[in-house]
Amino acid sequence: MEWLKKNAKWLVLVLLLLGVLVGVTIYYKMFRRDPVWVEQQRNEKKKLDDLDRLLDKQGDPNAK
Amino acid sequence: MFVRIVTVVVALLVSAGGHAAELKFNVHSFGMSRVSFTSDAMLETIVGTTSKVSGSLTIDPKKPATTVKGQIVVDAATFRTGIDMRDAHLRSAKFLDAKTHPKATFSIEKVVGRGALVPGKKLKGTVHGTLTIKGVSKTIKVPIVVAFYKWTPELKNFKVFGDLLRIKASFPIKVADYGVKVPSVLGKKVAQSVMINLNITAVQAK
Repeated sequence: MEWLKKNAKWLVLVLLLLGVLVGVTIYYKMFRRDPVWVEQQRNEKKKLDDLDRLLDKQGDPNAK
Repeated sequence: MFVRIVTVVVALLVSAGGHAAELKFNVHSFGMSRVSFTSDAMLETIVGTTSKVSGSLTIDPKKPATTVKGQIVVDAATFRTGIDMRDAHLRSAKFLDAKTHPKATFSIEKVVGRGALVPGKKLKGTVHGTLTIKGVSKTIKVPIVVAFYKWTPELKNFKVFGDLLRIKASFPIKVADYGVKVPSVLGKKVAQSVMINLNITAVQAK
């Protein structure tokens, strides 16, 4: 008990650090989308949009 | 007798001519076709996509509604949502069970719509087909927009080397209809009704 009172400050600090560590791990594992995947999706979507833009010119009589 | 033979020959030629007008298109599997789903639940919106799409279609551009037939095949194990742990859940037996049922398919049986597929013109219609997910098949009706395009040299940049079809469709499905039970713990994170989006490029087979 005496030891707890004496080191309470450090104990709280360690628990806080552990909490932050667990929180960050949970965030990375469960909520953060892989940035490489996000970029890849953006590129794939852009490529399909570019294809549609090119093809739309075929249907547009005013296009060159 | 002679008249009968001539009639049969003419009939055969006409039917052969009709068949010759049907064109075969293969689904472009190199990133120019995408299938995605969107689950919009109370706590989270999940979008899963894959470009591992294959299949083929036969169609007569002059009368697409009565002649179209084909199948779109999706590799169920390749859906990605951007979070590895969630992707593993998605592939598991509770959800898609990709190990036992590696393919999800959509077979086109009939199209209700009017008009011919003229290059560059978009046609709207309703596809009647069978959607198979996790080994469960259901007949569904899907609103669709399809367009036929002639090949131009610029299409080389998209690895397209023939006349092509662009097919787009969005439709909701109830996951429970396909044997996917969303656990009550995840009820607020995964929707019971999921939107499926098809963005398909099919290139004429040579």
